[in-house]
Formats: sequence, C-alpha cells, structure tokens
Amino acid sequence: MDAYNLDSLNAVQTPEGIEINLRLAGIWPRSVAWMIDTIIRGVIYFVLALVVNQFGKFGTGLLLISIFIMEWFYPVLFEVLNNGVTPGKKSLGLQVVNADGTPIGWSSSMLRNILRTVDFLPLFYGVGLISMLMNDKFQRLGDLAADTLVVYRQQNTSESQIPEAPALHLPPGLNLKEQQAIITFAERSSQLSEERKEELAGILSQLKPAGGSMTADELIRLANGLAGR
Amino acid sequence: MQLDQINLNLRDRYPWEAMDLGIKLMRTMWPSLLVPWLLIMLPVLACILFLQLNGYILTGLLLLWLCKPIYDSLVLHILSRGIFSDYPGPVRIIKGWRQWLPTGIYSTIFIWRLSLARSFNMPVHQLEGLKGNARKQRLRILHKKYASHANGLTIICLHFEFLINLTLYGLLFILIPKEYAASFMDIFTPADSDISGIILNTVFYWLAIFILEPFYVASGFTLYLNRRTQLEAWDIELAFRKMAQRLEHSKQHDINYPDAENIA
Repeated sequence: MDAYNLDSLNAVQTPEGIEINLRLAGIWPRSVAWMIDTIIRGVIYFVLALVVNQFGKFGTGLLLISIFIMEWFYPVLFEVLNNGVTPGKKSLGLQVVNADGTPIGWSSSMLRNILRTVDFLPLFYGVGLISMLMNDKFQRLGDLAADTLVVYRQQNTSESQIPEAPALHLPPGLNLKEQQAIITFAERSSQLSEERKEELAGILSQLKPAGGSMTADELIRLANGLAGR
Repeated sequence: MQLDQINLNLRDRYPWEAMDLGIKLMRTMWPSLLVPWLLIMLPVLACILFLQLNGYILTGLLLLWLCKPIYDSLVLHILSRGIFSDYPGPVRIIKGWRQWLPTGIYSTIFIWRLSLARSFNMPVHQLEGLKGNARKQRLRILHKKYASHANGLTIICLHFEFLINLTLYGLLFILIPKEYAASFMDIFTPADSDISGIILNTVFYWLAIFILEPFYVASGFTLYLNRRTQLEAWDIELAFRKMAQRLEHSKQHDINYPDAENIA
C-alpha cells in the first residue's frame, strides 16, 4: 500500500461542473440517530396505548394499525418531507441524500426503509452492521439498493471567523490551496497557543524577501487582505 | 514523527466524523492486521476454553474481558505504524513485544480500564509515553471538548458487542433444525450443566471482540489524532511546509511583501 490521503469524503460533480465533497457519516453517529428515533417512536406508542386503552379491543386494533404505519412510514415521511432529516438524524447533524447529492425522493426513501428488514437480519441489524463496516461509503444494504448516502449537513461556518486586523496585500504567485491555508490559519488562530502560532508563521518567512521572520499577526493581516476587507 | 508521511488527510473534523474515519482506516489496515490479530486472539480463545472446560466458567469469561487492553495495545501499535506506511509483520511484532505490550500493565488493566474514554486515552500512554501527572494534564486538555464523544464511542461499542452476540445467536437459530431448538430462548439461555452452551457463549463473545475491537481502537485513535490536529494545527503546518518548499524551488523571487500596499 502506498501513501495516500485517507478521508471519508465522497466527491460529487454537479451538472454545472462544480465539485462538492459530501462528508459521509459512518456507523457511530448513525446508530445513535437510529436509537433516538426508536426512543421517540417508543414514547409515542406508550402514550397512544394509554389513550386507546379506553376503547377495549377496538383500541388494541387501532394501536396495532398505528404501530404498523409508524414503523414503515415514520422514516419515509420525515426523509421525503423534511429534506432527508429525521428527528434522530437532526440531533446529530445527519441527512439522507441520493448518491449524487440531490434530495431524496419517495421511491428511494421507500426502498431504503423497506430493506431495513433485510439489514435487521438475523437479529438487531447484524447484516446492516457488517455491510456498513465493509462498504467504502458506509452504506447498509438498503442504501446500496436505493443508491443513497447518509452525510453530515454542511458545516455552519459562522463559528470560525477571521480576526479583524488591518488588511495587507498578499504577494502574487500563491495558488488557491496556499491562500486557503493562510485563511484557515487565521480562522483557527484563536484556538492555538501563542508559541504554536508564531512557530507556524515562522515556516512562511520566505514570504518576506527582506528578511526577518513572519509573525502570526502579519499572517492574520494577510488573511484579512485575502478575505477582501 | 514525519507529518508529511502520514496516510490520513488531516483536517479539522467534527468529532463524529473523526471517529468514522477510524472505520475507514481499519478497513484499509485489515489485511495487515489480520495475521497478528489472529496470533494473539486464537491463543487467548484456547486458554479461555481450556479454563472453562476445567470448571472455571466465570473466571474464563472475566479474563477474556479483563485482558482487552492488551489486545487493544497490539491493534494500536499496528495502526500507529500503519498510518506511516510501516506495516510490521508477525515476526517483528513478536520480537518487539516490548514496544507494544503496555509498560504499566497493572494500571492499564485495572485502573485506566475504568475510564469510559479508554480507546481515546490509550495513545497518550502508549504512543506519547506519558505517565503520572503529565498524563493527567494531557488528558485534561484532550478531554476538554471531546470527552462526551470519546465516552459515547465506548458506550456504543458496548451495545454493539451485545448486539453482535445476539445476531450470532439469531443466525444460529435460523440455521439449525426445529428438532434441536424449539424456541430462540432454548439456545440463548442454556441450562447451567450444558457445557456446549457455555462454550458457544464464549466463542460468540470472543467473535464479537474479534470483529469490533479493532474498529473501536481505530476510532478512538482517529479521534485522538483529530484533537491533536485541532490543538496543534498539524494540517496547517503541513500546508505551510509544502508552500515554503514550493516557494524555495520556484525561480520567481520577486515577491514584494514589505512594500505591499496597505489597504486598510
């Protein structure tokens, strides 16, 4: 095996030619999301049972029908009408999408949720667990059949801000990735220790042909320039 | 440590995302882990079964559970080298047992075992070699944002272990004829005198550990790496070093940084 960059991203190209990296969600958050959804359904059944208890055998029938409907359509309705997000998935920031990143529709949602029965075999998701551990995109059999993915919803970028500072123009000749690295440095500088910041900035001293070492403050000012402030 | 040799794409991930990366890492490492992993786990199974056949039924199970940190340290040893494309073979692992067998074996098995964030904490002792107060302080920093996720990982794995057990019993129940076991409970809760039921239980528990433990360790390890990446900005260092290298090589040194116009 050669050196390579292992990552849990899935690159998708839109018709406009833009490449989007879907951030695939694996078995850990998905099992927690499933657990939350199951608990929610359980609570609903419990409350329902208390209510329909008043109606005797008719109530039992009503309860069984509603359990049937809930078990099969709870995920489907949420996924289709709520943009691929069930309450459990919402609490973990997950979302179901088609393999090309588009919102999930009725047929694929039905398919992936009906095949839960297969994933559930032999007992408690044995097949689904093995499938998700072995598949490169963390898909269970239902996902494979419906060609769907579970991904993290897009990151909320407002939490990482470039600190305000008088802007400096960046020297020419830096490519996109290098410019992005400078911006990332500025965004995350508040989480780094002072020594580490200066050490990192010192690596880029070549950006100053006049000599002297680059300081973290100067890098942040450069990032401000890049951000167009 | 040679950061530029690392096989992982370093970036600042969500904690959950970092744990998922562990699954992917384990998937690529599985071929090189399998032989050493069998080499440690098969003798363990043999010992436990020997104990149980001689009447020490609960002791056997307890030992299998208690020694988990020892198996885990082997997995972590192989993982920590594997991410730098260094795959130690079985001979090297056996000869270099001092490298991976935990030095503070008493604390490893009995005290640190009590922490729910075990797989997240393991690299601090085993890879950084920190002990005592230094270790505690390091853990405090690492745990600041990640404690709940590291604990969650262990709790999830605890459930998975049980579910894999149940699934294996379910598989067995589907496959055997009705004449031998009329209901699921017949095989799931065998009579106390039934030694075959106890052996079955041990083998299934062993299988659950065998399947799950590498993924547990790998996910804890990638979570730890993510926290370090966040604290020490490894990804930024890597990008900056690449940039500095490219600038060094490029012929155009006409960058006019100090005279740049101040537009603020």
